[in-house]
Amino acid sequence: MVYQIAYGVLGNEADAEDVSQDVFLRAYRKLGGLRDPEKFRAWVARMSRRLALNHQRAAGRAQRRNSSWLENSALPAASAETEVAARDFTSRLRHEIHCLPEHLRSVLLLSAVDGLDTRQVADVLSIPHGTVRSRLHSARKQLLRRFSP
Amino acid sequence: MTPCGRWREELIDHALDQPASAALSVHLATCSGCAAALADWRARMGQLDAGVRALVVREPAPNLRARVLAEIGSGPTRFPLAWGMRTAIVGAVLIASIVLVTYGVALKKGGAQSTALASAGAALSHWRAPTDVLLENTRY
Repeated sequence: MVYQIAYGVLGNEADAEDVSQDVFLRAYRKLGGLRDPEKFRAWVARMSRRLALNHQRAAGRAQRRNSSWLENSALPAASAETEVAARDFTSRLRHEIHCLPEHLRSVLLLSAVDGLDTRQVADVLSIPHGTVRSRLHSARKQLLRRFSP
Repeated sequence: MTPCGRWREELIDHALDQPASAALSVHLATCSGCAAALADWRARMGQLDAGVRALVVREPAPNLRARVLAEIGSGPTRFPLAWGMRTAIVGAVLIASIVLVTYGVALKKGGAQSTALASAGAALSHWRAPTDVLLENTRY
């Protein structure tokens, strides 16, 4: 979960690993300060997102994704033609996600992380659950429109 | 197939799992164009959802766990102090600060009072724990 959240922000494996390592170490050191053990997952998820965003700002990349973002994430393909089509689809999807407004993109990517439901996404982003659901709907709708004739 | 313009937005919402209105449900039962468009949009959204997940859901390098554990185990100084130890240290620093400030203020005032305090400070510096005295006097 930690790595996926960091990767969703940074789009870069090496940076995501560095941030993940930082998150685990900080969580280990600050575990004594966690008042409610049931909030551990959301606590770590918020930390992951915050540190990833800090890392991104420090590297001066803000909203821009570098060319390696999600490069190696080609969908499995049965043949060469299917592989080309899959790669085109992935490339276009990547572009369209990047074009989404930040408040929609962050909800869309967090909602795709393993082990995070919409309530936990709301915790991570410190926004109401209803807002997460409406933003997720808006994000998916915009993507669907862009991929429809 | 092309959906009816009037129902397009609602069909898209329904493809995104929003419940269909009663009117849309009735229309879908009679309009093959809208029904086909709905099926197409559902299939597309399924692909897009899978695509987003494929972009996000990935595993870190196998050695990440080992790196983190190595970092944690790299030295006892990195381990956080127990709450009680921290409190004791903070308390000792606070008391020492109060003593030093009081001593310093007393010196500035001058006079017999400062002399008395200076004597008290000197006595404090020579203070020995009772156990130390006992141990000295009961040497075997």
